[in-house]
Amino acid sequence: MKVPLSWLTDYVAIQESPTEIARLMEHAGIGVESLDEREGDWIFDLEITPNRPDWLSIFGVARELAAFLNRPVKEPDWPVTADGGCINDLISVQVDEPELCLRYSACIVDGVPVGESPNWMKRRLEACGVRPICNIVDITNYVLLELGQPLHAFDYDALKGKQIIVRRAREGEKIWTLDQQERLLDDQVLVIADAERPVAIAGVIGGLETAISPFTRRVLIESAQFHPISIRRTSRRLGIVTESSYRFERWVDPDGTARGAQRAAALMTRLAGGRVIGGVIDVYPAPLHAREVSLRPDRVRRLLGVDIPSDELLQLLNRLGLKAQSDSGRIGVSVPTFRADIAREVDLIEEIARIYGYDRIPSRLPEGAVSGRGDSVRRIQEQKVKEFLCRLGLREVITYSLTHPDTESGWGVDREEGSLSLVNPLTQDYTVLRVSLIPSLLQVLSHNIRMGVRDVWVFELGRRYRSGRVGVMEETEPRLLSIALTGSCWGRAWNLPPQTGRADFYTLKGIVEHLLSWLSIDRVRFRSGGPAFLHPYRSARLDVGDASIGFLGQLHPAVAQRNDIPSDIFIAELDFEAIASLACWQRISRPIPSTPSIRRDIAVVLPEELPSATVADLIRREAGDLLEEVWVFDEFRGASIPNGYRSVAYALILRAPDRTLTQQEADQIVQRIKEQIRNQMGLQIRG
Amino acid sequence: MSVAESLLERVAEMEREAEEALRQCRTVEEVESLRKRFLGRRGSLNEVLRRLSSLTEEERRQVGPPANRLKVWLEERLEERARQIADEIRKTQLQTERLDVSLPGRIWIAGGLHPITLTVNEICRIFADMGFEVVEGPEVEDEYHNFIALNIPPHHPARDQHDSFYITQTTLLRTETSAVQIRVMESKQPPIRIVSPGRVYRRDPVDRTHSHTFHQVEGLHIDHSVTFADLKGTLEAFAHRFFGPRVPTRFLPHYFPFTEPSAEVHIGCLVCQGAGCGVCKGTGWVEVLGCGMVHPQVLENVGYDPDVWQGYAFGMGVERLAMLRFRIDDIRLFYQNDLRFLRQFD
Repeated sequence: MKVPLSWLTDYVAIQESPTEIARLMEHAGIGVESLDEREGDWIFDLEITPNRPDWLSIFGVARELAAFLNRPVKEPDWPVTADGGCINDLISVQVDEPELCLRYSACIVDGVPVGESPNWMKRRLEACGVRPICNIVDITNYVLLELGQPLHAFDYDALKGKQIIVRRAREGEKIWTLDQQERLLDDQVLVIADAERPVAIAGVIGGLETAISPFTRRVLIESAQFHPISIRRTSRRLGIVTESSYRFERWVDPDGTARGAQRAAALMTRLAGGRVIGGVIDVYPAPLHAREVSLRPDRVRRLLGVDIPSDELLQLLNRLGLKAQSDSGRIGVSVPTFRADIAREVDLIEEIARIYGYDRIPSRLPEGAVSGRGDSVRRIQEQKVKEFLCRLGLREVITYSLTHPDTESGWGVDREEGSLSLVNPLTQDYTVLRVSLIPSLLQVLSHNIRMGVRDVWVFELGRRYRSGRVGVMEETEPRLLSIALTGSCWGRAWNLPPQTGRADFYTLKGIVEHLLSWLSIDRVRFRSGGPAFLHPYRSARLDVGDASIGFLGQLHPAVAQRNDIPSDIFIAELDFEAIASLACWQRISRPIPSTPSIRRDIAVVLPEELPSATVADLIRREAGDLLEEVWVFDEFRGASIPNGYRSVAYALILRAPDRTLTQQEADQIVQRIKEQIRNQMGLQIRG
Repeated sequence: MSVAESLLERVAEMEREAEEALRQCRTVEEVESLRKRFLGRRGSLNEVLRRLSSLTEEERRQVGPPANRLKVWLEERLEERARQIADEIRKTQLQTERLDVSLPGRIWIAGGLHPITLTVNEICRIFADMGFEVVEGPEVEDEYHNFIALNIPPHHPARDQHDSFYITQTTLLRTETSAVQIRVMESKQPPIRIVSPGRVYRRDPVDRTHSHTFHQVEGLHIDHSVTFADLKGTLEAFAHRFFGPRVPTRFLPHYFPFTEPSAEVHIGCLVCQGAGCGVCKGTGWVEVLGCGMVHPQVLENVGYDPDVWQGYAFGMGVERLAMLRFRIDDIRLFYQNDLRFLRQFD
C-alpha cells in the first residue's frame, strides 16, 4: 500500500525525516517495502500484515504513528449540511442477511456535475496508485484510501423502486459488472439489489447498469460492513480482487460506515458543488460494542521476560487507543471495534511488546531441560551414506519431487498404483509426485551433458510418494537412494587411454557393492535383468534374502536415443528404507592377521552365459576355512578360447590364522578345488 | 742407477700416469680397469711391491713407504673418481627424466554434498549444540496439521501466503514444517526443544526468488518459563554462528497466525555491511527468519494449558539463507544441479 508522507501530516504532526519515520513504522510492525521521493513528496510502500486491516488506510497508519510518536492524532472532518429533504422519501434500505452485513449506511447527494477532480486530489490518488476517473468515483476512492472504508457510488436514478436490499443472489440471477463481464450468480453470493435485480456484488464490484455516468444527477453513496469470509469466498470464486474486497475480507470497522458516507458526501458538496439530501440512512440492527479483555501484569513479565510496571503498562495501552484501567490487580482493557485482532490476553501482551520496543527486551539464553538427542538417527544414517558416496567421487543432487507423468514415462518409468497426483497443479510441468528419482537424475545428466559437462557422477537420497495413512512417513514417503554415472572419474587428465576411468556397468556395481559391504549387508545377490528402461543384458536386480532391494544397469539405448543423450549412462536405485534397516552401523575392530598368506590363481574356461559367481561360490564351498578371499582378476576371450567361452581367472588368498601355511597345504587345497570344478561343473581349467 | 732408484723413479712415474689416466676416465668400467692396471694382482704397483723383497733393508725403507703411499693414494683417487663418474651419470640420467612441471596435474573427480544439504546440516548442528533435537515429518500432510492446528482456519487471509498443492480434498503438500511441531506436541508432554528440517511446497510460480519447492528449518521450544527474551537470545546466537560473530540483528514486530507476539529477524546486510545496496534494497538489513511466542490457541489445540506451558517457535528458509551466505541470486540454480554450480560449495 502506497502512503504519501504529505497526506500523513494531515492527521499527525511529523518533524522527523522520512527515513526515521520508515524506521519507526518498521518497529511498529508496518513493513516498509520501499521509500521513494516523488515530486517533492515521499512515498512509503507498505506491507500490511493480514491481522491489521486498520492500517489499510492513510488515517490508520497516521493513528499508529501518532501512538508511537506519542502525539495526538487529528481525525478528518465530515460536516454534512443536509439541504432539506428527507432521505427516507428517496430510498429504503432493507438488510435480509444481517449476519453477512453488519451495518449499511448511505447518503444521497443531488446535483453533482460529473467532471474532473481537483488537481490536489488527483495527485494524491495517483501517488497511491489509483487512476483518477471522475470526481464522484475519485471521491469514493479517496475516502477508501483515507479511512479504509470502501464505498460504492450508485447512479440513484438508475435504481428501481427506491429500494436497496442486501440479500443473497437467487439461483440463476445475472449481473453485468463494472469490468464489462456478465456474471452468473447463486445463493452463495451476497448482492446489493434494487426492487428488481442485483445492482452490485456486495463488497466486491459494482454493476454496470447503475454505475456513475456523465449523465448522473443524483448519487447514492453506499458505506457498509460485510462479513469477511463471505466476501473472501465470493472474491475467490469470481476471481475478482478489488481494493474493497481486499479490505472487507480482512475486516472493516462497522463503527466507521456512517462516517465514511458522510465524509464522501461532504467532499462532494465541497469539491463538486452537490447538495446532500436529508442526512444519513443507517441500518445497524446489532451494534458491535467494544470488547473487554483482561490482562494480568504478571503474564507480561512471564511471557516477555521483562518487568514493566503496571502504570507503564496502562500508559502504553492507552497510547494505542486501547482504554485500559487498573482493576484489582488486573488491567481491564476496552478494545475499540477497529481492533478486531485483539481478542485475548496474549494479543494485549503483543501490543505492549510492540510499543515498548522489541529492542528493549533483553536477550538471554534459555535454561531448563534439553533433549540432548541432537540430530536424529534417521538423518545421521543418511549423512553417513551420503558422505560415503562423496568419498567415492559422487556428487549429491537435489531435485523436485513434483514432476509430470510424461516426464516419467519419457524415461520409461511407469506410475504405479497408489501414486499421488495434485488436484490443483499450477503448471503443466508439475502435476504429480514422483515414484522414482531416476527421471530427475537423468534430467540432471541430460542438462549437464547439454552444458558440456561430460563427467557426471551423481546421487540423490530422497523420498518417493504413495498413498497411505497420512503421517506414517515410512509407509507413504519411503526413501530411495539413486545413483547415475556417465563419463570418467578423471576430472581432468591427459595422456591416459581414453577408456581409463570411464564409468561402466562394473564401476556402478562396484560402488553399490562397496556401499553395501561397508554397511555390512551381505548375502546380496545380483540377478540378471531389470526394469524396462535398462539394457536387457546389462542390468541386474539386487536381492538380499528373499527381498529385492533395488536394481542397477545401463540405460536402454532406445530410451537414451528418445531423450537425445548418450547411452553410456549407468543408473541404480536402491530402497533406502531396506538398506537402513539391514545395515550394521556400528564399527567393531578385528585383529589384523599376523601370519603370512599364500595367493593362488585358478583360470577356468566358462561358457558366456554361466555366471562367474557360480565358480566363485564353488571355490568358497570347497576351500574351507583357510580361504580368506576370492575374487576375479581377469576375464579373457581370444584365439586360445573356443567361441562362446571365456577364461575367467580367480585369485585365492589362503591363510591359517595361527601358523604359517605351507606351500604343500595350499597346493592340496587348489588341487581339490580344481578337481571339483572339473567334476561338479564339467569345466576346463586353464591354469 | 740402482734398482731402488729405478723403482722410486717407477713409483713417481706411476703416480703421474695414474693421475693422467684418472683424468681420462669417463665410465665406471674404465675406473675399474685402471684399478686392475695399477692395483690388480698383476698390476704395476704390485710388480713394484713384489720386487721390494729383492732389495736390502735399507733400500726397502727407501722405496716401501712411497710405494705404499701411492697405493693408498691411488685407492682413494679411484674411489673418488668412480663416485664422481656415478654422480655424473645419475645427473645425466636425471636430466633425461625432466618433466614439464607446468603441465596440469591429473585430478580425480571430487564428490560433494549439495549446498542445501550443507546449509540444513549446519543449521541443525547449531541448534543441536543448543540442546535442540532434530525431528522430521511427512511432506504430505492433512489440513488439520498444516493449517487448523496452527491457528489458520479456512478462509483466513494468511492462507494467501500459503497457497498450496492439494492431493485430495483434505490432504496437501505441507506449506511449512511447523506441522511437524504439532505432531510432536500431540505425541508428548513438554519440555520440548526441537528443530524440523525438510521440503515444503507453495503454489507459487517459479522465478529468481520463488520456487514451488523449497526447504525450511523450523524450531520449537516449550517449557514452563521460556520467554521472548529467550527467543531473542537463541536466535541471536544462531545468527552469530551462522552469519558471523559480529553481524548485527534486529527484531521487528510481524504477524504469523501461530505466534503472538510475532517477529521478523533481520541481520545487517552481508554484502554492503549495512551501507545499503541492491541485495538489501538500500535498507542495510535483510530478513532472515520469522519467529514468535507460540500462540496460546496452538497450545490449546494440542491439549497444553497455556498458563502452564509457553515457548517460542521460529522458521527459516534454507535456500534464502544459503543465497545470502553464498551470494546466490537465483533460487532455481539449486534445483538445476549444474555441476559447475554445485562444485563451488565443497
